[in-house]
Amino acid sequence: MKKLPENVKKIWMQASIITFIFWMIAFIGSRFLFTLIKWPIWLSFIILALGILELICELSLIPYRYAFNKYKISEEYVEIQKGFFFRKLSSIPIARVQNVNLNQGPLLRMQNLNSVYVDTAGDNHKIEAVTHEEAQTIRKQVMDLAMEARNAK
Amino acid sequence: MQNKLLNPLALLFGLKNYFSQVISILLLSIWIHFIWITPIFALFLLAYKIISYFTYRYSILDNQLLIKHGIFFKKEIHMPYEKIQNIHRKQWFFLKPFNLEEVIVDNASHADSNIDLVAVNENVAQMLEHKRLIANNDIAEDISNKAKDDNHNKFDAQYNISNHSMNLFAATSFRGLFGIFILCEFYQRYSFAISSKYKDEVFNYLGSKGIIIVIIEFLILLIVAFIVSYVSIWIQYYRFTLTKKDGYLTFSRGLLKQETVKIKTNRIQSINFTQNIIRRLFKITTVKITIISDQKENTNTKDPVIIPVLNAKKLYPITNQFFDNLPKEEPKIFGKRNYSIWLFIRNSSWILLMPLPLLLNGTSWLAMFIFIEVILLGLVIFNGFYRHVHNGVKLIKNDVLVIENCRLFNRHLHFINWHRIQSITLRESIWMQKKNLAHLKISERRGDASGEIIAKYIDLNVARSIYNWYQNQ
Repeated sequence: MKKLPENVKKIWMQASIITFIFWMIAFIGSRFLFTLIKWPIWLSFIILALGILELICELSLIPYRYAFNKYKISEEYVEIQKGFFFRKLSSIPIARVQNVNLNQGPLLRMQNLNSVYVDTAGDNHKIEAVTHEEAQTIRKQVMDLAMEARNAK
Repeated sequence: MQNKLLNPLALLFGLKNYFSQVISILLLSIWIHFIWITPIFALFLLAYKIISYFTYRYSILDNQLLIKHGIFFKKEIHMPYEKIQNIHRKQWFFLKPFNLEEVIVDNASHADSNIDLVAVNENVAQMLEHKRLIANNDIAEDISNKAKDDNHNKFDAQYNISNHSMNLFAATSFRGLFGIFILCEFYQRYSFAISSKYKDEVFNYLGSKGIIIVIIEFLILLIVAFIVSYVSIWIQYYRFTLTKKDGYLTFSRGLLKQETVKIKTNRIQSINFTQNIIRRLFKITTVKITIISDQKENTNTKDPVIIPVLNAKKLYPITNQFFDNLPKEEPKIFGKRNYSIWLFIRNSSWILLMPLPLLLNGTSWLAMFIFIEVILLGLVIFNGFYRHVHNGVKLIKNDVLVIENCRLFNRHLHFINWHRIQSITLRESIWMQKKNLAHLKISERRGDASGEIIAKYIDLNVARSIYNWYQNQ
């Protein structure tokens, strides 16, 4: 199975820092709010602690997350693995693939990466990040194979 | 048949809507102190309804069904016969003497283009069915006309529900319980509207009577709910018949309103044998199917009940007549693990927290609280064992996967063919991995969206073998 590109780690790091910034905003906001509604101030430190805890967890889990996020595209199926504590391994036969969509948020765009959604008639599956060129080839490859598989029927 | 009007009785159907609209306007006008607007509105609405009745025309042409309607903005709906997905027929009992019925024609598109012929002659549906068969090349036109009369009463398979089965089905339904849940739900939602004085009175009343009276009253409520559900099921499933012919399943049912639905068998995604706990005890089974449908199709055709009740002896022989690829007898399910009993109990133990609010009023409800907790604890433990017993997977011939699972004491046995599985997912946490357990999730198409079938906490090796089977076809 193939690993995600190396710089997806950077994106996860940035994402966890951004969530931390939101926690900080919540922390500062809560200090004002709690004085306003006369709740004890120390409650807002719980928010700060949660934020820091999440930041530490997210950052320390990045290597594991990287090691366990994999995908594979073969002639017959697409296989996606993700998660460390809660692991998921999905298999989608090429013949069931209806659509392959590429998505790109601002963080992904900075690293020139794409996330890939593989849609079936029932559900959809996401490959978190691949390089832009890789995404295009995946899309072309899977759609071509899917077309072939459907015509063969 | 060109530019035909609907039967004038269609106007009667509009009346129900008409009255509810007028009444809502009346209420609004009282609220804004503008009552005289109501009769004017009522008159206009009546005129509108009548005119729109007279402008609604349908034509059954050689290659398509054509609807023209609209007063100011004329609209035309063209529905070529080969695009028709479904023809539903609904017949209220008072329409039967006039040979009239409602016909709903669905097509495959997502757009709002379903056709609802509110009251037309019975032969319209037959004509449409016939034209659709011709359009799909299922039968050639000349043969069909000749063979029509001989073939009319020949089916590949037919099932009629007997009165005995009907009684069993109605008596073992949990619908009454749901009725009580709905009442409770209503109470919770609207309890603010009941003044606290009444509430106190009720609680005092209950408190003064003692626990036994409360339980007896609860039992009476249960019996009433049971009778209501019994009767409603009789009305809904009255004279249930299922027939299979030319690759179509047709089922019809209903006392006050007879509904007939025809489903092409290749739309069937999976077959589901369902038993609630009482039916499990009596060894009777309900057969359901999941089908692909579009958004507009009404809800009771989404997971239609194909056979209301079958006892264990008849289950496999009869279902085999209607569906290919079913086993000849109950399949033996693999992948159970004893450790899952504990996991199921643990996962549902949050329910024990539910009665905690009873303690908010001090210790006056303590006896009640302990009583409920003991019952809940028993239920949670029983649930763990019950789910464990009905849990697992099995592969049978012709690449059919069988998944047995259980939710809310309803035991399900799903049969799904390899070709109908959209994707398969193996899920495990690292703690489960230590115990060699996994969840196996199958996704299928259900209605216009997706559905999933999960076997939880089964043996990892069994789950992995299914996963590999799916991948290596």
